[in-house]
Amino acid sequence: MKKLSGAILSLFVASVFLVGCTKYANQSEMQQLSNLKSEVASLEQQISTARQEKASLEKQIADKQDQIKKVQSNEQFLQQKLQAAGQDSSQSQ
Amino acid sequence: MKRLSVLLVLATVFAISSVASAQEEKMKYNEWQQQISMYTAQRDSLKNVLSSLNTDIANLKSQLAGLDQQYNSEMQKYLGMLHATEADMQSFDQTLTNLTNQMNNYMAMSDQDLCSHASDVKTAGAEIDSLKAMRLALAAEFYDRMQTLENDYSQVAARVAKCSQVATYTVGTWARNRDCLWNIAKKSTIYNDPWRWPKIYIANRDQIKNPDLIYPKEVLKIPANGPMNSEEKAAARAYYARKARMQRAAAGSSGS
Repeated sequence: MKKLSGAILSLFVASVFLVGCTKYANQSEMQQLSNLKSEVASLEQQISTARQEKASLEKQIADKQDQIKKVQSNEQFLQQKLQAAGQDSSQSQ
Repeated sequence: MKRLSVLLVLATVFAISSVASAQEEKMKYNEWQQQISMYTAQRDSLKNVLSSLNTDIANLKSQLAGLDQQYNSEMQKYLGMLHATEADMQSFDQTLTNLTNQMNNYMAMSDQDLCSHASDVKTAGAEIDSLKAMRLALAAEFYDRMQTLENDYSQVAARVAKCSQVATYTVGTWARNRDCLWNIAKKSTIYNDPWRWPKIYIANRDQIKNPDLIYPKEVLKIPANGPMNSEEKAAARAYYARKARMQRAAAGSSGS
């Protein structure tokens, strides 16, 4: 009987050491970490999208600048032809 | 006994809870602290990057809006010089394309076919003159195409002009030239085909009464080459039928 009590007591004490001495993060702390990871993933996605939008805008700007140069070149061409034809650009047809 | 039961219950409870907690995701606290620090730093850095990108995007959008205004302004100025609208330019482009395709078709035709389209060519020429009179013809977008179209039209018009010119042939002597309608049609400079002699005959009915009889120094009109029409074919049939009757008559009289 005494031996049995002693064994059970030892089991109890061992359980306490096994379970209770190391500190672990609790559930709300783990949730906090999970939320933080999600926020980082979301920010990475937003940055990827923003970079694509930036690249698209840069291309549009380059294209628009080319279009403007083209129109200005066409204006000069027309002006030369009108002068060669003896016409002023301000004259009506 | 009582104490024994209590100890047994406590041990069982701890054993169950230790098994249960072993099955949950457990992270040691100091490891959790490290991860929190790392992800917090990462989040803050990413927020700065995102903020910078959003600023760049806003600036680029503003720049693009400015360029759109500048482009519209330049286009208005250009269209003003041309005395035209964008719709006018599109219409001019379409007309120019249609006329170019038309000229390409004419250039690919034989002289015979082209002559049958002479009035269409003349109409196309009038349309080209209309385009030339517009300032749009001097625009960089259309200038080279107009030049090519005018050159092509000149070539086509020159060929069409020959349609109304009638070629002639002055008959030589039989002794020297062996000139008869058959041999004249056979010449490479005429039809290169003796069977087309009826074309010369029909074109010169006022001079030629009998296809077998043409005379030196006669100036014969030579129509444009091409397949025989129905009148020319009928003349050929009539000639060969008459020839056959004469040969039969000659054979009958010599037999008797």
